Amino acid sequence: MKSAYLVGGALAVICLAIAIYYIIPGFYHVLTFSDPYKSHLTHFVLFLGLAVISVLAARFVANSRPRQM
Amino acid sequence: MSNLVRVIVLALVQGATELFPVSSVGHAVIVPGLLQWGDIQNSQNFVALLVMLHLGTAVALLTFFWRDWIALLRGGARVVLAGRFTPDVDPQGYGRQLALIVVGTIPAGLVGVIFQKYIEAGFSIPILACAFLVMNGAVLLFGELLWRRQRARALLTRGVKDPSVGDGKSINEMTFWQAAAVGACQIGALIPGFSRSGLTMVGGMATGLSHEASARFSFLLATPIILGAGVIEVPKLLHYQSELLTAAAGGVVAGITAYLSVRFLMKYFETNRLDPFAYYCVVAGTLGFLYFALVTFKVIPAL
Repeated sequence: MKSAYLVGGALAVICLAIAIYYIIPGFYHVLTFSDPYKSHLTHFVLFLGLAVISVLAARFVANSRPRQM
Repeated sequence: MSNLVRVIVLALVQGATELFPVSSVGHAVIVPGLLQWGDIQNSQNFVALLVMLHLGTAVALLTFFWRDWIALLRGGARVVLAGRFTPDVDPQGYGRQLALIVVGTIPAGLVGVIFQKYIEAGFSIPILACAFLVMNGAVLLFGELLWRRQRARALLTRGVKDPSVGDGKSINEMTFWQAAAVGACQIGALIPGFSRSGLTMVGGMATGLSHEASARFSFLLATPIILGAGVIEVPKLLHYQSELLTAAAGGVVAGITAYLSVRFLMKYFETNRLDPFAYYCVVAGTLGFLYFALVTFKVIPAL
């Protein structure tokens, strides 16, 4: 149960960091087709969504495993 | 031909081909190429048109499946609050279905956001789209062949010879890995010529879903992707206010066409197969390839 939350939490933090990376202008943003120095809302929304999904998935995986007595 | 008429023709093509397994992106490349309408694609107003076409198609899908989406969202809210998919929380499995759709959307969403523009820039050439359309037809035929062999094996295993028995499993019987794999099939549709609905239907059938369940899962999977593609681009509409009315007309036409298409296809796949669409893709793709090749080498003049 704890490992599911750890993995999910770690994924969420990584995705959140990537989301923030893409929304802040002035940095060189890799894998962007248009101007790499402006904010990329699409990428931000995508990775923010993945962060939320990671947390939810961790919760579901943890709850699907039988508790150890 | 006036711009409005051309927009309506493109909207009709988009609305139908988005849901039929014959590649909307492929037709969006091939049809303007055939009709010498490259100026529409290259115009700055094309962005506004694309946004409206996507929104129109998404609205059509949401309208047709509105009962499903309400049940899915209600079920999803229940399972998120409870943190599990057990029958006491999710008796009809709608919450789990929504989770399958979310999982199925991730691969294509990730690859599409990051790589779609690169792929379109490299592959949006009519002759290439025709070649991939032929391959799309081959994939549909292969999918049907695979499905028939799976069903024959299942019927033999059960010792039942009635072909109406065991037409395939339902969406609720899919695993999350299978949903991710089916969703990943949408990545192929980034290449003009391959069909999102066709590839996801073949993927669904490969996991054992019936034709009807594959079609339903394909259209449900398509909704967030198409809606997202439209909504993300909405702020750009502010820069094209003079063309909004024309684009909106296109969106309405695409929406009506898409609604009629999904209504027809859901009925069609209750008892029918992908074969006719496969044959269309192979024939149309081959003829188109020959035409563009002959025009490229100046054997015949363009239309």
